[in-house]
Amino acid sequence: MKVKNDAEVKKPSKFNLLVIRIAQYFRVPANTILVLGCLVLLYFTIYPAITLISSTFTVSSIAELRYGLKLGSFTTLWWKRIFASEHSSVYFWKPLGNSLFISVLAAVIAIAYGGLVAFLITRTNIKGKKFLSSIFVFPYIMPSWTLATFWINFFTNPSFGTGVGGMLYNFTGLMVPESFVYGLVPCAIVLGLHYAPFAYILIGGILKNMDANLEEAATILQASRWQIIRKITIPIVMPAILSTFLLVFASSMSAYAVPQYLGGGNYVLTTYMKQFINNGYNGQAYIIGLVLIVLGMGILLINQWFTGKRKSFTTVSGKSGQISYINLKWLNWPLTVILVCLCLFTSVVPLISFALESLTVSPGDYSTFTLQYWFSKDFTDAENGLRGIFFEKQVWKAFGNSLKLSLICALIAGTLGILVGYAVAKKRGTFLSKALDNLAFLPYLMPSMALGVAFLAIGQSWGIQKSFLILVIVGSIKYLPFASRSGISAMMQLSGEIEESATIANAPWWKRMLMVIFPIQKSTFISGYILPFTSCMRELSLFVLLTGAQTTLLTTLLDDWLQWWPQSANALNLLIIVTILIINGLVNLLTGASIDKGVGGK
Amino acid sequence: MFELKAVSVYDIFIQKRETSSPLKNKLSEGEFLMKKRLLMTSLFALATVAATACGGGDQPTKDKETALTPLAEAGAKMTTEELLAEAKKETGNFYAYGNTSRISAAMTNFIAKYGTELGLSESNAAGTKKKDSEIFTLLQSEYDSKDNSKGASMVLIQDSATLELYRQSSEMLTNYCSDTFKNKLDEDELVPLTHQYINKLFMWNNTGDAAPKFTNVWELLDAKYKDKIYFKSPNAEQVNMNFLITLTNENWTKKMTDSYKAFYKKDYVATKECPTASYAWIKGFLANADTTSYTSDTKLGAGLSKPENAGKVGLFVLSKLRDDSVNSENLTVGAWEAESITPFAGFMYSIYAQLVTKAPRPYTAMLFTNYLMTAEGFTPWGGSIGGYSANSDIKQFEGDKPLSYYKQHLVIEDGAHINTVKAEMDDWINGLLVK
Repeated sequence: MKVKNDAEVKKPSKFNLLVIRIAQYFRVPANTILVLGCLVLLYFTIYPAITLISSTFTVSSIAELRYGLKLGSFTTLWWKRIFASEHSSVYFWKPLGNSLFISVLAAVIAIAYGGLVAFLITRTNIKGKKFLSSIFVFPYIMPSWTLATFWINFFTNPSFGTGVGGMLYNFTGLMVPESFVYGLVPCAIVLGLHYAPFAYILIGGILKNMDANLEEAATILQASRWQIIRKITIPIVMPAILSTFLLVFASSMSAYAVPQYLGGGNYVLTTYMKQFINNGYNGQAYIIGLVLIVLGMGILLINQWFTGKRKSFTTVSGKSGQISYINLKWLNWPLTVILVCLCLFTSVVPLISFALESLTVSPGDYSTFTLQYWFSKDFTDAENGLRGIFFEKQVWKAFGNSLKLSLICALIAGTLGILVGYAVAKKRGTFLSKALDNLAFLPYLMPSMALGVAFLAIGQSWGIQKSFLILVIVGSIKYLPFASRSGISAMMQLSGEIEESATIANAPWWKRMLMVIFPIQKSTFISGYILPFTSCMRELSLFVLLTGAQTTLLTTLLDDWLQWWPQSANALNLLIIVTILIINGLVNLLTGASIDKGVGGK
Repeated sequence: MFELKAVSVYDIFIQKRETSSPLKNKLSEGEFLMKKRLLMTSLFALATVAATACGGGDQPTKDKETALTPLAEAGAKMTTEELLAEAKKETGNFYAYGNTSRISAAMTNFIAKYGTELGLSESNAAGTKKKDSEIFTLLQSEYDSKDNSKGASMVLIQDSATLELYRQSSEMLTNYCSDTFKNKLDEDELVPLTHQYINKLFMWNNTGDAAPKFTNVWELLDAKYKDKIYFKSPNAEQVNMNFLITLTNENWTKKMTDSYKAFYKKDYVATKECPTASYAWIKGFLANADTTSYTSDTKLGAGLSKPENAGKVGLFVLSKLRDDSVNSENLTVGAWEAESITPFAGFMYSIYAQLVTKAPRPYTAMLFTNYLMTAEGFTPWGGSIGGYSANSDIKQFEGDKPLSYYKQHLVIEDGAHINTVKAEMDDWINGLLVK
């Protein structure tokens, strides 16, 4: 037998070496996930943005032929019409001004109301803290349009608008001015109330964990209570206030349902974008979508930059055990009653209002009563082809679609979140790890409706617009940041030795994930599945441009019904809210998590 | 013939427009659109003359060819039994969309009649209402989709202008009219097939002492009507926008000028913003109208009929009076008054039945279309006032006026005119609606 000497052993070529190295690289699961994850997320986040931009220069719908252009041709007309024509003020500048006004005012209201409640609950001896805390966050758990529709049901009166009385007028004869019911100010109030729990959670969290020594020191120095609040408390919560401002501002800028129902003819960017899409003027809608994305990303990046900058200050030491509550004395009961009334007004009264309105033969007329909009097996007397909602096929089809979509999106987003978390934690500090972390967070910065319009453009080019698949893709992408944050934080807490010992025992990667890692951090991982599920169930803005006749969701069905059939819509509204509250309650029960945890909740 | 000629001229115009960018460069957008409007109007007029000269008026109207046209032409010659036999061979879902909510009741009746034979039930067949502003984009998305197995097979669709634009610029819709019904319809109702007419009339709350009484539409511009006229936003429903645009055609411009003179006892003087009396009326009407409080005509009817709205007027669908929530005794219909309103008492538009070219069940769609054209199929609309079948055998609901009466007293949607001016009129009216 001939033995080869060294010279005879053929050295592997550079190409073969490269192949071997690549194979070795991809043999590590974390590397494979990083590369694939980056590619997939780049495709689904950057590509929509590029498609959106290119679509603003294209004639993409038949309706746009009215401008004398050819389908598929290149044009700059949409940009000119939006930014530099005699119509720019109608289609862009005025709606932009309205959006900015609503968003700033909503942020101020949310901070004032949420901050005050947070202060009362964390820093005073106000009564019924647990109860107040749990019902204060109700408006945020409920879909955003809930308060808007309730606002009309409650405050409308014969002196304006429909000329029909709402709850307040019917029960007390009191009438509020029109500007309090329809217009930019009521939009801002309702959005402010909806997002006040943001302020409550962010500001309350800091107030509760604030180092009591700072205030004690000021008390020893004989500072007055007001001086303490002004010089110590407010500066400490300032980062939370700014964060709340930016978050509420960004969310309000992309809000669609509230200005749609309460705007009273005042258009904002989102409502004009929807109108453009409805009429088939896609190019102009895509530009507004792009503006919203740029604004949303800009605002949230400022927020990240600012909160990152404040990390160097240690104002929350965790040593707040000796916290001294302000004694409200004789104000305690009156304040408690006022706060309970306000919280009930935004949490329980809306449900009563929807129930009442769904039981009237004629909207707003409580002297008439019928159960047909709930239980009729035949078409109702409205002769609109609808049965009672418990027997209406459209409702159950939409319910099935919503449930199916939420489950699929939660599964995809939750699983991707775990994988992203695993890869980012394992390869922390590397370029790809940082890239994947940022890419997974990117959809959070994109306003829902703008992301919807971006995927509408993609769906058009792929031939899957208005399909269930496009809803699944956009839902999974939009909610990935929730899951990836959970995944990353869970994996960061986990010592690498645990997996290493399983590796030594020759456990394959999938077994290590399923039998070792997941069971240890299951509660955090599960929250990565649950958050996308609950958010998806109540989402309207993200899906409103993408659903078709066979992919109608509960929320988009309601959006239609609210315009046409008030009694059936109110019944459906109540059904959706109760479903969401039940799901939320179950989640709390199973995981022990609640939104107000850490402030005044359990 | 008329339509084919008009379209070819339109296409030539579009090509010309693309190669004539220097013209646009020299003109402002407004000037360019105005010139475009003039050119389009001239071209349509020329096409009409050409069509008439060719004897087009005497010949059956021809439709644009689509992939489904051969099947539709074959189906048109079939008897109900033959069509049923073909439809039985089809499987899968059968969906129909409509701008009228009663399409769902019609579908339920259709399933009751043919469901067993066709394998249709409420789980795989449905009629769904869609907004007129969204239905075209929805149909286009289904047409562009790779899998249309869950898409619509037929539609009942309003907005003649947009329908014409889509029919001429795409193949997503196919016309179908059974030979059985051809002699029951007017010539201009065959392509696209008119299923029915809907009217929106001036109605007012007659309770209290201040019940409105007007016989000329110019009176509605008076300050006493400020915010007292309910009219669903033209942005929310395209037929409302179409009504306003139709007022600017030649025929209605003349009528509006005459009625202006009759009311104000002087000639209308053109301004830069309002070159004709029609523009002036639209501007004044929208300034007085409340276009935002009611998002549907059903809600509008219910609200207007309440005593709290004494003295207010609405321009909305007459058939909404059928709704239980509307107290019709409290409403007076202007068109039915002894002295009707000059020059119009409301407006009227058609709802067209069209097959979807990529229909999952084309023969079932033809059968359903035929069914809708019969008295039995028309029951959901014909069982109350405000529904007028294009089928001349089906009479209006007892107590209602006949279709011919309304055609004399109402503004009839003029799709051809609307398409020539739609882009700039939308801009102008949107500007008027901004708060």
